Amino acid sequence: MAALFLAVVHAIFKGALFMVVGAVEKQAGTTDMTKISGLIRKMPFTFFVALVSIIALAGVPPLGGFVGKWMLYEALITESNNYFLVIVIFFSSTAAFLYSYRFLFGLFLGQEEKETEHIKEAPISMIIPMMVLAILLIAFGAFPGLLFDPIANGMHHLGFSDVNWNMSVLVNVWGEESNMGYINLSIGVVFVIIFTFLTIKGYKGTRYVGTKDISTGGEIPTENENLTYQMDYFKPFERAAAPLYKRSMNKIWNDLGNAIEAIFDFTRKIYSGNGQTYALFVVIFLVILLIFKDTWFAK
Amino acid sequence: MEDLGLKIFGAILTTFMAFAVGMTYGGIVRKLTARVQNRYGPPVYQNFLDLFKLQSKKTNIAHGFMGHMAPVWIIIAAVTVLMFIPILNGNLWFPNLSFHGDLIFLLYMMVFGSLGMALGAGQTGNPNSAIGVTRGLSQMVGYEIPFVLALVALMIQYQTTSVQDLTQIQHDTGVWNAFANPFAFLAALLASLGMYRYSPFDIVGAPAELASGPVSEFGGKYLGTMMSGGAVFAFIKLTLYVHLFFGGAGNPDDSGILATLTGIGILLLKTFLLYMVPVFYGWINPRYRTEQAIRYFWGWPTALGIIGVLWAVY
Repeated sequence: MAALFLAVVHAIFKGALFMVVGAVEKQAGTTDMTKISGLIRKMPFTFFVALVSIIALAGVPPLGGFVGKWMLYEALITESNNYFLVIVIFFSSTAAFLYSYRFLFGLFLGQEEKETEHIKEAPISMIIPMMVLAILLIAFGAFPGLLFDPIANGMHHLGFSDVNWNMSVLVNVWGEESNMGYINLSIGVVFVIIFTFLTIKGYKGTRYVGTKDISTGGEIPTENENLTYQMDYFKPFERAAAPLYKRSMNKIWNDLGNAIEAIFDFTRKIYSGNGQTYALFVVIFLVILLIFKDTWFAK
Repeated sequence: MEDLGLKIFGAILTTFMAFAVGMTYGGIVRKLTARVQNRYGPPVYQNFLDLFKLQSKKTNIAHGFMGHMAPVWIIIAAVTVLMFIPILNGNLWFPNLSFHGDLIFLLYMMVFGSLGMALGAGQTGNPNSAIGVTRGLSQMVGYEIPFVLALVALMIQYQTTSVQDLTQIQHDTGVWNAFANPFAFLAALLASLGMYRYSPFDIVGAPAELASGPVSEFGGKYLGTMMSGGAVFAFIKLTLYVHLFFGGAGNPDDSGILATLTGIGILLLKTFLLYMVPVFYGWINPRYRTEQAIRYFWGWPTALGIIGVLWAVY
């Protein structure tokens, strides 16, 4: 049940993400992150879809990814004894958050360069399918029961036992629940309150500044200064995990190849080019045949 | 209807209490740090003064939509996590939706705020913010591992994922979880050193290195909101630790005024003592680089967490 739900949500957000990249590629002509970045002002709908998909990917509430992951964890912890898998899944989920931020930052956030001035929003025919998928993701976050119904029916037909499901409440075997309705409600309420006080009240007085108008320790960046930070984005992480990089598969295959070559090198020494050695080989062969004449080798 | 009114009142009361306590703890810590460093230090209510000053500033410039959303998301994360933790054990005044969410949800919700700030800091285009976000997220991957290991160990040991039940079990058996599963407790404690961003793990917001990292482009009301969100977050994590490892506070059988006040008093005492651990550790340590911090978290704390999980299984 959990796995099927997660598979469906995964398919949805992967599709949406690929659409996003396609839209960017169509508009910008390239997806090289060192060349284009800071597209959020120019392609806001695309950014919205990408944001929703990344939140679903990382499994953060309140969207559908969290529902799938919650059920997966509950199933693993309560039913099976495979605790190592739980730890690995948690780690992969946190690391997913880390690398998906790279995707968002590379394409949409960050510095705006002059070469990207001409990029406009993707055409409507590309936006509408993306938005449909994004709205689906949001809906599955709040009402996972929409997807539980077909899945439970299918499992019933396949012969699994009757699965308990509910429209917006996730219940696990031990009785604890995670009510997505309340979760989304609390998030929505807080969002509205704080957003009103913070932004909308003072909105008229603010003006938008470009990304070059920033505080970099007292210096003011000029127009042509390149402040893009896209290369080697996770250098600290790479440095931290450096011991793991030392043993790569390339080295293993190379070592294996070298070992086999050494064996062949050794056996090649039979062909010494000396006619007397070859005559010796023939004599030795005849001797061996004569010695083992009556054993079952020569029968 | 009256029940609903009481619930809403309790929710607002809890928020204000968490906010006030969090800011006061920050103020006390600033004073103590100053005394340790042989100076007088700001008064204990300095954090409130800072907040009033920041909130009274008008913002002239804006960095785009995500820049507006970043402090909002931090507050959302803090308050939502607050709503789903039982502040006092079984008290009628502060239950706050704690029956409707469990530990796994809390684990994921804590990440939500960091995501918001990362996105907002990214939109400003400041390379300092971007570097700060990279370091912060990498460090978060570091400390999440022992934290998750400790919590999974607890979940397995007591076969429950609800904070309420874990506190109740400690109440029933009379033994704090800190002693029932000491390896999990140690792993979680070492992970909490990373969460509070005191030395040696304060590379994220290092003022002399990065111009304050991710928060370098936020000012005025936004910075004030982020500060208060951070204060609520600190209090929430402390309360979670106290409930999971130190038996929580409050008496489930009694909901009168006196019992509530006593419960709050015990909670404040326990959380403050627990808060002193990362603060003490921070006074004497220099700063780790990011890769040193990540390797630290993946070393002993992860090993302790794995031993804790094995302890829980058998």
